[in-house]
Order: sequence, then C-alpha cells, then structure tokens
Amino acid sequence: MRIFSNGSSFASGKYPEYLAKMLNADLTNIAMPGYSNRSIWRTTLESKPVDYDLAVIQLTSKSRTEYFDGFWIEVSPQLCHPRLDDKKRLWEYWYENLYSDEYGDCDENFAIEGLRGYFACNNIPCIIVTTDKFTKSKKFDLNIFDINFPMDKTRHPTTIGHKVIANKIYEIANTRR
Amino acid sequence: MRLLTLGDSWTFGDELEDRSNQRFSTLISRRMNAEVDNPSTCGLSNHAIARIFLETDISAYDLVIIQMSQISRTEWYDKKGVSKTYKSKLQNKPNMPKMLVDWDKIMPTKDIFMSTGHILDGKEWWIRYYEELYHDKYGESDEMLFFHLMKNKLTSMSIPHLMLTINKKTKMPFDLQLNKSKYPRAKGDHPTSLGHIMIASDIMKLL
Repeated sequence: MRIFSNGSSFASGKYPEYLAKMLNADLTNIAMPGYSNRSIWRTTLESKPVDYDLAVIQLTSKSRTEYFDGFWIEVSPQLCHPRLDDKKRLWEYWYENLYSDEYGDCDENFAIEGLRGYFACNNIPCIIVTTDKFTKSKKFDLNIFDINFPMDKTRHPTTIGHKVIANKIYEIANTRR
Repeated sequence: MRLLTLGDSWTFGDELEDRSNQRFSTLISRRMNAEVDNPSTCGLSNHAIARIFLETDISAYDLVIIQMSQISRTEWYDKKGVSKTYKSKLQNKPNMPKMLVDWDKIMPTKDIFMSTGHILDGKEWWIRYYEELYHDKYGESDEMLFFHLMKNKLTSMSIPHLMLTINKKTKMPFDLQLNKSKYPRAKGDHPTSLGHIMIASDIMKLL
C-alpha cells in the first residue's frame, strides 16, 4: 500500500508516519511548515501523484496565501516569513483592508474541490482534514481541532497528539477501504 | 438538452450588435437544439470563472463549455463596498446579481478595473500589486489550478465538456485556442459576428 500526504506544519510532523505504520504502507509526504491551502493544492498537482492507494491532505488556515518572487513565499497574517522583506507593508495592507473571510472561504473551497477532483480522476481515495478551527466548510472529512489531542507550547501536537490524530484518520481510512 | 457556456467578454459576446443572437453560445445551442445558459461577463478572471463554475449546479447540464481568460486578471471580495468600480457598477446596474457586485474585477490592462480607491503611500494598492507582487509564474499556476479544478470536476461527473482559452501563451492542453488571427475582430479586439460563426463551427467540429 502507498500513501500520499501533503499539508502544513501539522502534516510535516509525525502523524503521517504513524498512519503509514498502522496501514503497513509506504509514505510519500511533501508537507511543509507554513504552507497555505494554495501551496498545498499547487504542490500536490505539480507532483502529480499517481499509483497511490490513499491520499491524506491537511489543509490549513484559509487566510494564508503565497506569491512568487523567484521562489514561492508563504504569506500569513502573522507576516513572519523571513523573506517578506520590503513586501511586508503591502501584505499588511492586504490583510487590513482587502482580505475578507469570504475571500478565504472561496480560496479554501477551490483547494478542497481542486484536490478532490484530482484524486477522483486518478481513482485515489482521498481524506481531507483541516487545522482551520473556524472553517465553515462542511466538505472536510475531519477538523483536527474537533478531536482532543495534547499540544506543545507552539500549539502543535505533541508525540502523543500526533498518535491521536493518526488514530482518527486511520478510522476514517478504514471506512474508505 | 442543456448547454452551459462560461467565460469572459469573448463568450459574453462583447462588441456584437445583437449579442444574444450572434454569440457563439447561441449559434451552438441552435445547431444542437439545446437550451443555453451563459453567465459570462466582461472582465472575468480565471479566479472568477472557477468561482462561478463552483457556484453553478453543473449536474443540470449535458454539455459544458468553459472559456478561460488572461492569466494576470484577478478579483477580490469587496465586503465593505468601498471600491470605485463597485460604486459605478451599482449606479449602472442596480439589479446586477450580488455574486457579481460583491466581487470586484481587477484587470491590469484597463484603468477602470484598477481603481478600487485603496491607496497605499499615494498609489492604488492594485497597481503596486502588479508592480511589486504579481509574477507571471503566479498567473500561470492560477491557470493550471483552475483548469484542472474545472476539468477534473466535469470528468469525475461524466459531463461532456470543452476547455477553451484566449491566453496565447498557455501551456495547458486546451481543446481550442480562440485568440487566433483567423477569427475576425472588432475594434476592441473581440470576435465579430463572423468570428463567432467561425468559432461556433470549430467548436462543433470538436463535439
């Protein structure tokens, strides 16, 4: 069995590995901390995953985005990316005056529909979870913050937290097999 | 039989004298004896086309024709209704659907679509966006993402479809390139009535 995983900081932690062990599967995990929903959607399509038995995608806060300046740079309202430099002021203005939840909802829906469509056309069962606590979308298989798991000081899952998340996704995966 | 066509001014039929009768969507629907819905409007970006596509119940259609646009266009949600273009839209078309009014079109090639009134350090924010943040690589990736989003959804729902474009430089496998010199153009660069006849004919060959 082969599993494809993508997402942001949560998915770049240990839960995909724990899940792969539980399913006795080989894992490809291209998740990166700081990824936006657009980055997760884009890098998934760019890596063209085929011949997988399961895809587990973790989407993130809908307000994050990315732009290209020789390389892709992640942007979030915290504006903490070290490469933002002189662009920080422009992005501050974006979040203060132009960005809205409606825009974020729309981009989140694009990522969900784009990812589901890709995996449907490639006959790969797909589980999409989110770490956006406040999402209004009913299209996710799981909101990770709906389950109780221990977090560290950075508000990311501890080792046990990752095991709890893997267990929950394992339950969902079993309903898809 | 029901047909959906969705795109920008090219599919809307801009610059035609008798738009509702001369645009290619109508010509195709007549040849196929089909009812046609065409929610296309001028200035739509690929972001807008994909958004309207997802807001539409596409399961109601037997054939869907999507015309994608120039990659540099975009849109934003004008929640507070402060945009200058928003205000002019309301003045001109008070009955325009909310889904078109709230979303403000941004087109770097036309000043009217670049004046939202959001001024940062004396300059419209969207002008600064194109000068300092936008890169064609971003536009190309938008095109790639939205192309696959719409095509994969239609494929997974087994709905026959065609993907068209006006982006001359596209790298995506569209079924038909509309931005060709063989289709006669009006002053504003949109196809003439003959152009629409020729486009309809080329689309029929693909069906």
